[in-house]
Amino acid sequence: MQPLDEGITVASYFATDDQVGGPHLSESSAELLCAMQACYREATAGEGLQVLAAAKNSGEWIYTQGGYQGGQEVPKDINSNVGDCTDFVWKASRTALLGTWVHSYANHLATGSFVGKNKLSPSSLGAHGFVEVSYENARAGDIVVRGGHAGVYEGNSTDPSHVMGYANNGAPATPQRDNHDGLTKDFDFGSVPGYEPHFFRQLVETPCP
Amino acid sequence: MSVSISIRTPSQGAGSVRARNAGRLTVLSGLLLMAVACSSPAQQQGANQHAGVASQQQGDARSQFDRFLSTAIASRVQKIGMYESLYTCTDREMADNVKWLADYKVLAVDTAAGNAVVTARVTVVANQVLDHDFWSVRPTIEEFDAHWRMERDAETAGRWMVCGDAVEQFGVFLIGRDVRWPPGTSAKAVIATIDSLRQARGLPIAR
Repeated sequence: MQPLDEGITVASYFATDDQVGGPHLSESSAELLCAMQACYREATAGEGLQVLAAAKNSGEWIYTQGGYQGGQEVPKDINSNVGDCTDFVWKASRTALLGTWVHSYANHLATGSFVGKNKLSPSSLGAHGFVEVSYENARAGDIVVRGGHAGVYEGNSTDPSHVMGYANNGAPATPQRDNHDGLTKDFDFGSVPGYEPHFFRQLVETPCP
Repeated sequence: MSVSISIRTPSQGAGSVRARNAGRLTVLSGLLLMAVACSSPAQQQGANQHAGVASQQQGDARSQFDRFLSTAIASRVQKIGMYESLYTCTDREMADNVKWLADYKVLAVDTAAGNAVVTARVTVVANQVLDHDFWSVRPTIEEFDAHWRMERDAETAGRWMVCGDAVEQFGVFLIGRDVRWPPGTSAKAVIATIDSLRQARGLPIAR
């Protein structure tokens, strides 16, 4: 795969294994793809700081999954800061990178798409606007995910067991428990037995060379 | 200190099971006495206290874990607060893979300070997985060993509590607003399977 720091085409970045040997593009669809071609690069350190600032400036959130897990809780309303942890990181990315990080809310990812048995392949993750980076390369503004929780990494962790992220904290209502709306604030995503923090950087559009 | 160790072979004592067990007890007692004889009275007391505390910790963790899995039997009526004193670490739920539990057996409890790892053999009658916006459930009959972590600290008010999903990354809480079953199957049928499986094993119906 080409280095992600450089601008690369959507076709090369998002090519997936199942496309190899798949149906050939017709001439007209190939022309359409060329017309729609876009290039992507990783968000810069400065853009990352903007994402973190957007997270911290977004104010208090009401934690809910809108009854998705079968419990009684208020519906989501992302515009009014009513949602879950991945809604929070989507909105911070979108707010800070408006115009270059173009992924709609309908395209946003839950934690299970970032980590765990059902996590997306790198190419699918890229199609949703993220690329995984290592702990050593992670910096402020990256998305940090540990288990079923996500936040915006605050950077400068020197100890993997203490990785601070800014997050919409809480737990969804289920048939066995009520919703818990925690404060929107720092959360320690540091590694604990069985759960490591994973970091994801936004892929933003850039002019094609 | 002189220790008398009596060892009986199966051919001795007219093959009596009781006699063989008595022989084993004698050997065990002898070994225990030898171990105690190697340490000072203060060390003995410390060792006994340590062993007692460890045993008590394991007992507490096992008892809490037993309550947790018993509560998780999928035929139980779901109620708010049913896991209140048993479960913590909600941020570690992956919530995309749920197993419907019919029976379990706790195999091992390993405790160290405020952490424990528990091994249990579980009998599962349905697998529920997240399929984009809805849950898809497939009946099955599976038996396998799984592991859970437990914690005991200030946040759990000093009580052993199960922490997050199973190490093998599945949950046991019946969740989901939109749960879909293949044609010819249903939650009712799976619960009937749980009841009949438990009855066949001489276990009470779980509600």
